[in-house]
Amino acid sequence: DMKKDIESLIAREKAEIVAKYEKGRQEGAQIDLWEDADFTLYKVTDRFGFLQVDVPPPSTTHQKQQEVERVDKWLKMLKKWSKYRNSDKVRRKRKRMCLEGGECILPMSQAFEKLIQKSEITGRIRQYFPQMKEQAKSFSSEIKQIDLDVNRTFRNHIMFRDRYGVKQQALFHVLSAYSVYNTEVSYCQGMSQIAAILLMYLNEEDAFWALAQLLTNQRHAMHGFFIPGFPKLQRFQAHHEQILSKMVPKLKKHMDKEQMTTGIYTTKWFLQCFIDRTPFTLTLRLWDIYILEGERVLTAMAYTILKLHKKRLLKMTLEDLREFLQEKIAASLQYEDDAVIEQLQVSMTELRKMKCDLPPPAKPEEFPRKPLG
Amino acid sequence: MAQREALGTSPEEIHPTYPYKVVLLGSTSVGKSSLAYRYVKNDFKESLPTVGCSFFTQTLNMEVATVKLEIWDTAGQEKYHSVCHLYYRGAHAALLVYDIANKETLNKAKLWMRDLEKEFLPNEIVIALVGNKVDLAAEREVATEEGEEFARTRGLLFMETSAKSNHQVNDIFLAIARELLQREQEKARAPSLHGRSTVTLGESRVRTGCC
Repeated sequence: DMKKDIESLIAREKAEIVAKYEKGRQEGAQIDLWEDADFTLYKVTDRFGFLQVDVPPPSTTHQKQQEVERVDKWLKMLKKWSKYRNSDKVRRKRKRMCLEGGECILPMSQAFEKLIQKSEITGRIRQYFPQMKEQAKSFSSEIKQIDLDVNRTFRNHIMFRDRYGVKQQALFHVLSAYSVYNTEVSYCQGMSQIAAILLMYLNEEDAFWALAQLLTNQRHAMHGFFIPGFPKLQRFQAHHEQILSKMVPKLKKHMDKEQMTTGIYTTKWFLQCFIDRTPFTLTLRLWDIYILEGERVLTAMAYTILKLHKKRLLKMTLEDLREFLQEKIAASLQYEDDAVIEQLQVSMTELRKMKCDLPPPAKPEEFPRKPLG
Repeated sequence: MAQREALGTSPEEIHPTYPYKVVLLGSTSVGKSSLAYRYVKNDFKESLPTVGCSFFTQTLNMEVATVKLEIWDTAGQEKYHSVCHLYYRGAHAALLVYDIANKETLNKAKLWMRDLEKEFLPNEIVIALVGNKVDLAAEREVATEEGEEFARTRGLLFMETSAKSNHQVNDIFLAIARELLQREQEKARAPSLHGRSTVTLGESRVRTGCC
């Protein structure tokens, strides 16, 4: 009887959460004062939608011009996408443009849309999302966790600041639908920021499919990052250590001595492709390349960061290392984005030559075993 | 990991330094990261859910010794316990954090207590029960006495805090540091003596890193 009581209590709690998201911010919505973030501090938003305490510096004409040119090139190439999607020529060209500079505001949504490859998600599959969204209301085991995380994901971004606002609703729907779509992963902390970035550029349904692609397509296969035990994370961390031993042995020795283990600083790098660990403009560039190139970007970027700052890192104590890798470079990598991306490309070539651009292949356990949907 | 030898425990040493590892445990969204952030940076910000583990250090200059706290913060979601477990090894102190506005989180803290009892001998680790978010007094679901009572029966330190409004955050970490030092002194004395020392430990804080 007590078990029954607890079950009905949990069900009621779930239903209450779902109902709040359905209601949104309409009249009569119950939003406790503390739930709405206090943003009196923030006066302006930057052009990415993040609320800033200080007025951001205006973009230079040169920057804007670069962006416009880049978008033009993009659009031209995307027209030919279906024809050349998998051809080396387009991949090379696109890669060059990713690497070339400017920021990816418009192209980002295009890149994400390509990720979905919309034409392939038609008919029966297309209906999955509304179905999953509906099923999640009663069957998702992670409603509560998702609810807690939705309200602390990018609260400093204009789209996510309002409790139960439109994009918070969308984030809740995408994550809860995904939790019943892929039951092996369900919901894992770390996914909310990825879904939120997708939602900055895509609508709810497209963001769902983009997330689904990222987790289970061949190029990204993030499934293995988020299942219990995090097997893919461990594989990438072990490989990262090998790269350090081979390429920057002195730094590796220093970090070992200071007991700065890879588990501490690479977890977010790998699980979220540098979200929240590099400045947002650079994060977008990295995601753009990640979508195109896949997981080798993670390996190469992790190496690039350490290589760029090798001299400085060699002098740091454990606490300084932590602060540098977790906080300082999130504010600024101390090089222009373009220079970082250039170095990333150098690293990729370097690692490919050494035949360590990718970790050893995944074991079958990293891929979905149960059917999706 | 990250357990180091005490730097100066020899009797000649006048002012020894003791490094201690402190772990923050508790349900998701009770304020573990915010407590660490408030203590180390004296600030509060809307923080993202913690992914994996992180740590901060803080040095306290107390009268009889310097205490270097290495504070480990972890993701609250249970899925991360398997990886974060590695970091709990060798902890000298643990803060079991719950949210006073969410009764269930106290139950989770009690479950954590059970885990710690399995892993550590009774005197091996200093444990503090921390009821966070007292700024949400209007939403309170756990009475102060309830936390207090549980702490008393298990011999835990106890405090109610608010990382947001900076209520008793320094105090709880300081209480832990004092308790750790006291145990250190007791250990140094004849092992048969177990009376409480009456030495009061003054403090002045040195912030590490930049803030």
